[in-house]
Amino acid sequence: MDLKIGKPPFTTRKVHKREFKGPFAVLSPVIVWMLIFFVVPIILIIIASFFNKGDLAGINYSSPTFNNYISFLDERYLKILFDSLAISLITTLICLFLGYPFAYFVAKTPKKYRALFLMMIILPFWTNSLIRTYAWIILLRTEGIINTYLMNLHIIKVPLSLLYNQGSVLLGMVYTMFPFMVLPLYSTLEKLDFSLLEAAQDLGAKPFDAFMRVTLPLTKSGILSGSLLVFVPTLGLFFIPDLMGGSKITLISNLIKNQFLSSRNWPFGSAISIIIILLMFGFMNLFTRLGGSKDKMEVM
Amino acid sequence: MVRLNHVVKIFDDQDNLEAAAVNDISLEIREGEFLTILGPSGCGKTTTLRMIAGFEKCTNGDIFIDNENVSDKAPYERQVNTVFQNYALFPHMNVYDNIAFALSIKKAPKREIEEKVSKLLKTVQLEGMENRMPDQLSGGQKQRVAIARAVINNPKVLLLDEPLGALDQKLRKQMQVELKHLQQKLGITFVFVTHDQEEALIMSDRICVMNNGSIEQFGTPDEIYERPKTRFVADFIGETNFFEGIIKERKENYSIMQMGSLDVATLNGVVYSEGTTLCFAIRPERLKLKASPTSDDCYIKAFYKERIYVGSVIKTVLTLNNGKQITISEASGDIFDINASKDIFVTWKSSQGVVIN
Repeated sequence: MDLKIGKPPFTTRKVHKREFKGPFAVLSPVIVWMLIFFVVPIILIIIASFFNKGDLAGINYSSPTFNNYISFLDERYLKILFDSLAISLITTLICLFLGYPFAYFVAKTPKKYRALFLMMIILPFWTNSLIRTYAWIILLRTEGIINTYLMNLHIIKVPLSLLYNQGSVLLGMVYTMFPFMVLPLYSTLEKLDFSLLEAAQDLGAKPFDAFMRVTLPLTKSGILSGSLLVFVPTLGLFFIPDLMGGSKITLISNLIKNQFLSSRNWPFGSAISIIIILLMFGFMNLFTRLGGSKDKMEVM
Repeated sequence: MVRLNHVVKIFDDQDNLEAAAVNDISLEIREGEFLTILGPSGCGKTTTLRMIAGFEKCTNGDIFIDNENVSDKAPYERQVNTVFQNYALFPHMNVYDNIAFALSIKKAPKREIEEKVSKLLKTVQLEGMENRMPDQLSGGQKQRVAIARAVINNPKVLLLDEPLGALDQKLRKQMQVELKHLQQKLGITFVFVTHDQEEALIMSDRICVMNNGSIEQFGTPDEIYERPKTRFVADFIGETNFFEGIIKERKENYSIMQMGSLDVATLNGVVYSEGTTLCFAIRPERLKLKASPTSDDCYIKAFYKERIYVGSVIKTVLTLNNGKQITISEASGDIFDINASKDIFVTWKSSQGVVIN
């Protein structure tokens, strides 16, 4: 018998080469961008944090030092750090407890209405958050809309102090961060197979049991990524405590901002930034571990 | 055991509120039986099952389980369990925890849970799979876990919603027999929903055929197959030839039905008055091809069209005078030689046809 074996149309080596070039070509703009605007600045901050402050401003590169880190271990600064962590944590929890039922509700509504509800969440994003924060001030301040109305209606005699306290800072934080909690929660809840809840009820679980044993574990990844997305940026949100907390509330983000802008102590500001970055890494690690080895962090 | 009393279901979001998904169904399920609700998709069979389970509320009528009216009870208050179409295994729990779910909800002692789970694992032949996660199981294994999970609490009734739908043909056949054996072993009443008529015939003690939200016929598999009451049942279950016509002449012991230009003498001793419109159904395997009919045969002359080889049987399609087609199936070893004679007659015994209103 005469068997003819033809050449394969192209060799495997060529194919491999093509496969390798593709992703690199696509990624390179991103890589260059990240190098210039992320990696280099971080390195500069790390370097700056180990030197002294310059005479007027800037950095005196003459002698490296750990002083910036050591001086952070002061009672006042540590209190600011803990206050900030507490506010971030409370903000995260409030967002979670408000956001979960909302996301659940949206995921359960018929498809045609879901877009509307999600729009309600996303729409405020189209306005600058600074402007939205000013809007809150107009609502809350002593001569603001709420107080004026309550006074006119004779419900109160003296204006309530709604602004410039911890509550108003929390309000602003929750308001700003809420979508970051809802969206990841929605995306996991939307994927949740509701027949599993029927199965749980069928097997004798009351709605609460079914929620605790089925819904909650299956939406854990959404809870964790939502919490991370709220917790981390809240720690760095400086304009809300600035605007809504007045002079009484100083959070870590304000502290950093002040080091760079008013105190002109760039090395100290850098050191605090590095401490925060390290803390964040710690939290991220913790959150990922809580998510279990199987569930990867799912961010939207 | 389970009784449905004039049950009606109309969905709120239905486009047409007039058409009920389930329309006035009354049904009694006996203890220990394997009952199949059979029907095409959209006939209301799954809705009926979901109402028994408690996932849907009846718009009207009542459901009784063990003589207790459960119409207003939640699923977790009813002693019935369900095997879902997609199994609905908890993806975050392993096989053991899935099966143990019902007992751990009841806060049963650990020892008891362990005992029962391992016993059930043996029953469904999944020993050693305790630690597998659902996504590591094959379709057939998932199915078994779903069954084990549903029966661990000794439900009075096990509801199965097309549980074999996702399996391939061969596994499906195997599971049909296994499920039947399992039901006999467990002694639990099974209510099985399917659209597969063959499956229904193989597995059931009784079949309830549904169409458009109503029960068409309720009976044993051979009643359903041999003596279908409605045209729908005859058509849906197995293959059937229909003869439609008007009674032309009433004789003492039989009637003569006219089908177009054909006269068919028929009807097993039952006499119909002249002018009655009837439909007459006869299974392909009850028909015989002959060169000349004998005196006690009912017959129609027909013209050969084609033969289809199926394997165990050979189907012959013939055309009648009036253009209608008729299918006959013959056992592979016993085939009429169509070239043997000029005329071909389709014959049957008068007792083999069924008159359908």
